[in-house]
Amino acid sequence: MKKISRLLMLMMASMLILAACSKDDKEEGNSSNEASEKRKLVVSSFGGDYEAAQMEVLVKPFEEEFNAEVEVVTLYSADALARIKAQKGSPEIDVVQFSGGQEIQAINEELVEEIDSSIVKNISGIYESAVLEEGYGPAMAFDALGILYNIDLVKDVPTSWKDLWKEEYKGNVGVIDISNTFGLQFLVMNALLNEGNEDNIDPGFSSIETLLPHASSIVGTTPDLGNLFAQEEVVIAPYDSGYAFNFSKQGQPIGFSIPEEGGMAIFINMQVVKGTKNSELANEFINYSLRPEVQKAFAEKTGFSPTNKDVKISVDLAEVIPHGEEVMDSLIKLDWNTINENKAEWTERWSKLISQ
Amino acid sequence: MKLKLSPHWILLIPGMAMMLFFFIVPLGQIFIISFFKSQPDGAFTLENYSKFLTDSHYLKILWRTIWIGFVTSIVCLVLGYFLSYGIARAKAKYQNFLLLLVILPLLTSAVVRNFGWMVIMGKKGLINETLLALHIISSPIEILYTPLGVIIAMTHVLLPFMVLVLYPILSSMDLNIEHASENLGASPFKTFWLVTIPLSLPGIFAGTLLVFSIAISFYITPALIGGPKVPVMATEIYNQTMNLLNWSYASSIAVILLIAVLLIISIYNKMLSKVSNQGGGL
Amino acid sequence: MKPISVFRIINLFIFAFLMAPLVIVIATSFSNTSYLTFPPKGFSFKWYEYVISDGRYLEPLLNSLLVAVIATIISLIIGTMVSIAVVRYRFKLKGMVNSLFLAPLIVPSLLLGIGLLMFFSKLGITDAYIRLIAAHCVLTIPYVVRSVVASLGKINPSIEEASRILGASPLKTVFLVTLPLIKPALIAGGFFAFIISFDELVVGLFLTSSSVTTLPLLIYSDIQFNLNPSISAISSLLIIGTIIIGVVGMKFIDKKNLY
Repeated sequence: MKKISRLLMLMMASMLILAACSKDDKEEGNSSNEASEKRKLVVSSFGGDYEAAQMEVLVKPFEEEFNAEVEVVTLYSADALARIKAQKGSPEIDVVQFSGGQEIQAINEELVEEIDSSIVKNISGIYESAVLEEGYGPAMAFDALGILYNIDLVKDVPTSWKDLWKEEYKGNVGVIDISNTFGLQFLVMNALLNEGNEDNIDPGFSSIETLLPHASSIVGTTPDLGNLFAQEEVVIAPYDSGYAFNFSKQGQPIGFSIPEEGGMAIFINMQVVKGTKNSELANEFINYSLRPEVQKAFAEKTGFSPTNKDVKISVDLAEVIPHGEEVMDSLIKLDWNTINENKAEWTERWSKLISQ
Repeated sequence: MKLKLSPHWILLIPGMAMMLFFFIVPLGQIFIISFFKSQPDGAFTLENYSKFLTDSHYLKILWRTIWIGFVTSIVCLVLGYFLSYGIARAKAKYQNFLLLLVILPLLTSAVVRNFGWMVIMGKKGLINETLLALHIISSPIEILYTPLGVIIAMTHVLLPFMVLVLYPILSSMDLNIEHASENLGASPFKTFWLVTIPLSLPGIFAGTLLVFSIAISFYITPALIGGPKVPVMATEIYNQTMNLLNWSYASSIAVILLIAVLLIISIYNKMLSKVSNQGGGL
Repeated sequence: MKPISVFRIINLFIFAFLMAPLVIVIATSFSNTSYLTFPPKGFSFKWYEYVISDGRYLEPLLNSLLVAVIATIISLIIGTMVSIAVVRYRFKLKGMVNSLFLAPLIVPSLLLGIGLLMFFSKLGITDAYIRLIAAHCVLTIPYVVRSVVASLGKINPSIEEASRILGASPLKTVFLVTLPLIKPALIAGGFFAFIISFDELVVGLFLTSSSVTTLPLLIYSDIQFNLNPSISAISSLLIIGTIIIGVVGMKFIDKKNLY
């Protein structure tokens, strides 16, 4: 035991020294930054390739042009929402990014503020339906909820939502949990397909109930779905085109199709956090994200379509992602206010439906 | 002016201060909102509690959480005792290395570790493929996304904790006592049952308590291995907090969990002190 | 068959159970693909190269180590003090003190994270190191208390009494008699504290800042938009690193003991 305690002390001492050195380095870095008195902005992003793309095409050029220092904190939409709620009134984040739907919750909870239309002038250049809530941050990118499928194992390209019920995929369908926005949208889609809507969700639930025997599993998160596709336990699932692009870029044999009944619109947007001390710069940042050249570069890297009318994406990309005003207008848009009002009730009902 | 404090309070002051500032106060402000409606202008209400306690769906989640924690503790105790006993009785020069191996599972990120489980327990996973090839089963059995899967994966992560509690006790145990028992003619099994186990009772108590406590509040493993089909208290709290922003309800669930578990632990405590008293009398 | 060999076989199975997912993780880290898959397709070291050359893992790793080491030291000191009080003294409210130092294990850390963020925001404490260390101490003290209390309970108080009768001060008795006797439990408690802090994700989700992040958080934030074998490579490096530090450390100490 003597040995192991010495060993432990040795390990700890070496780690402390290592860590202390690293901290020193950073402090030096900080002090040099403080000297130049740059304006600071804290922005949330989604991590991974998405964040890397945003750093390159949006954050870095913005920093140069506005002589600002933008710090990116990685937070998924739900995490970001919870965090700004906990810090209501004294936020550490200035601009928050949502993957669609959470902005309504944020507005209702008074966590975000209206944009300054005298700064966010680029809003005039974006598609009309990309303005989500009048006065608040518009969509800076969009993609579509459709069907993801394994191109090796699914022979016929799915053309209808009903294809998910096909006998041949039985046991290999990924049903998305309602806690995931895409699962929530798919539930509403099921209602719409069966003469229901956001106010009349019953047909949606009965429809999902008939799909459950076909499910390989109820999938909660994106990495889970990616793994299930990689292990071929799931071959077909309702999900969005952005991830389809991401998965296939990683080399997974994954295709995407928008069913003939219509896909659903997913709007990525940025909002100014209420109570920020950097409101002006935050608005500038949102304005910058709507620029055509920024949106084009971002789309080419991530597969999320531009919302700016003036962007022409490359031919290669145009083949694989839904894009353009016509497509966007054809996508079904959800009544998020009604959805958010009912979300708690639906979640409970869903949980009762699927739990064992 | 001299303030006379009894020594135990001096010993407790730093710990209590730490807990007061960084646990009781921060959690207190969360727990308080469980008595108010979730809307900003919410009024005082016990609705959150009555909602949970009157809905069989939520009570089932509580029950599931507790029995998964219970089974995990028992399995961890049995496996952990075997391991700790084996390591404590191994040659001295191997002991540290074996301990090192035991804690390795804790060093892998939960996400990749659970990917490993997906590969092992999935419908097309190693277990199912093996059983199918051996014709033991005719169609894949479901392990992933079931309580069984959660128990397996949770046992895996929590087993190191059990070993780290049991090992010090078993290794510092005087081997002469066991030898004495054997010299007096007791079989190895009898010695183990009547001498070793009673002597390690504090470790058994501490280990099961530790594993049970972590298990019932564990989030990541149930979320990834159990999935939405196997909700437990921690995943329900997560869902209410993050997706529905209903912090009032989430905190009432946490309060109910806390009370239920402290109750169970105090009963366990009483039972165990009785048993160990009797054991001491033998 | 001898009971000893049956026993060995059972333990071999338990070790296999512990290692199984890790073997798969290590295997996937050599995959040539850009996504996690098993069996790995192709063989390459590119994910190790990526992790080592990328450099963005280094700072979060060091942050995690720093926070874990400090939290471990603090919780060892505080936790041992609490344990001695609880085991060696009789006082009112002991049951409550006991429960209090168990409670952080039972309360889902998500809510603690949110509560702490609200608390720190009100006080204007924005330094992520302070926030993380405070939170991790609360989460790790119970582990130290659990293992030290179990060990202290086994030590006959008369040994300590003897030391005092022989003239040692209470403090001296603690350092010269009690602490050496509970050393295994201190080491176990220290291990717990270190690992729990090093691996902590949920509380960190709320308490890190834009400039300070930890390794578990970086991994968590990478998985949504590029879940690739680099995560397996990091885990494998941690496993291999621990084994190497452990084995080399043991050798080093062995040699020193010869003199």
